[in-house]
Amino acid sequence: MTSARGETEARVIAIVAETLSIDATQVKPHSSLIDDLGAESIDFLDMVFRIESAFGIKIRENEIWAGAISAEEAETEEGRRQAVDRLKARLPEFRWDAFPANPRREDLPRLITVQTIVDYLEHRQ
Amino acid sequence: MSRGRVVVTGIGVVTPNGFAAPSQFDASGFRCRDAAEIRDFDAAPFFRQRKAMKLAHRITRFAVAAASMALVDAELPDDFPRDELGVILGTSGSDPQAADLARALANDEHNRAVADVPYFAQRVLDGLNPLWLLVGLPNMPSSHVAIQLEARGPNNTVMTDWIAGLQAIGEAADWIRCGHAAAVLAGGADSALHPYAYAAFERAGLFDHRADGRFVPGEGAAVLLLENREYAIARGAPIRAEVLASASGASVAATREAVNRRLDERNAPRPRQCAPANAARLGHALAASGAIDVALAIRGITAPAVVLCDSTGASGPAATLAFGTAALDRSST
Repeated sequence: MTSARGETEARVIAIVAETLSIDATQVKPHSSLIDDLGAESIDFLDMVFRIESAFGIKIRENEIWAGAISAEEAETEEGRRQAVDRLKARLPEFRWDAFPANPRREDLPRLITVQTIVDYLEHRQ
Repeated sequence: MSRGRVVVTGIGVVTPNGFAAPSQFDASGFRCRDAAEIRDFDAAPFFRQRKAMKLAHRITRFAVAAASMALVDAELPDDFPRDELGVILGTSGSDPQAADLARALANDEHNRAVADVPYFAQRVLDGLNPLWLLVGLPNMPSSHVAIQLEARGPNNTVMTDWIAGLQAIGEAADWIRCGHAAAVLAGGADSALHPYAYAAFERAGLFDHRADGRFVPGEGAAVLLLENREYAIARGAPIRAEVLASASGASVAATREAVNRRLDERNAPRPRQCAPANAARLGHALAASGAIDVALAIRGITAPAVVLCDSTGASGPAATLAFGTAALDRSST
């Protein structure tokens, strides 16, 4: 990992920990914010604002999980399955046994992890 | 409609003790530089869901703590049906969290935000966490109490300023009598320790040396658990008092003599009062017609009865706005 990415990851971990009122050591790069850390929709409002403020950017609605899956992929069942296959290689430590093999659109936010957020932020640069 | 009886089984309070300069803001610009402030108070033990605390400001924290204490004091069992447990709290809703808003709109040299709505929206959306509004909404204390204590019965917030807590107790008693809930956490929570309140009090003349009595802004919470009397006795609950009656009203100026005359005409006893802020204001307050019901309710009670009165008003004699009372009978049931 580059040191720039490492620093970004550390900052995102701190923001996630603060948003969810948990210790930073509980936030792993592959932790699902929703399934593993108990994040709710209200927490995403808070977290996105903090990320925007910390990195000086504006994040459009739903873009936060663009690091995991593109908008086009999200639209179709086939696209979503493709994205899951790709992510399985990218995030081997993610709890894939707890995630549906054929995800619906509503399941996609569960893919948001620190790692996918950092991917998104790097992609924006 | 069944008119069951209502008792108090639990009491929880969070209060300051003494006063000093407020620690949260600089009051040196006001005539009053005192505050009855609650210091070193940790609300965390009262929140079973710690994450909710980031949305809980002072007033909410006081409310959750006091309500939690009331449930413990009442020895309410864990298996009490939560759908039968209601919440109603009084609060002023007077803190607009202006400091955060001012920060978000700062450095607007030409006051563009005033007339340019899109610009105003952009400044606010950029500068305020989206959850900012949720923190200060006046129904948040009632909401957080219900969430943390799993009270899934009726829920309400009364915002009639200084009499709101008493009115909440009156309404809670009505809920129980009407069968909407078997038990209700009722009371009030508030904090006047913010610059907006100090500015309002000063403008209203409450810090004036000519004002009637000394006024020190404070904060705190007091919550009672009210219960259906039969259920309370059946579960062996501690019975601390009974809520006999309550009444509220608005009044124009009236003398104590005129009020007592009305009571005499209705053959109602003249209620005993405890420490009204001002005798003339009490006269105003008793003119509220509902007070007659209170007097009638305590007629014939031989044990000592406590009548809680609150009258709120601006600094002029004709400005009394509202009044609430609840009569409590402390005799054993």
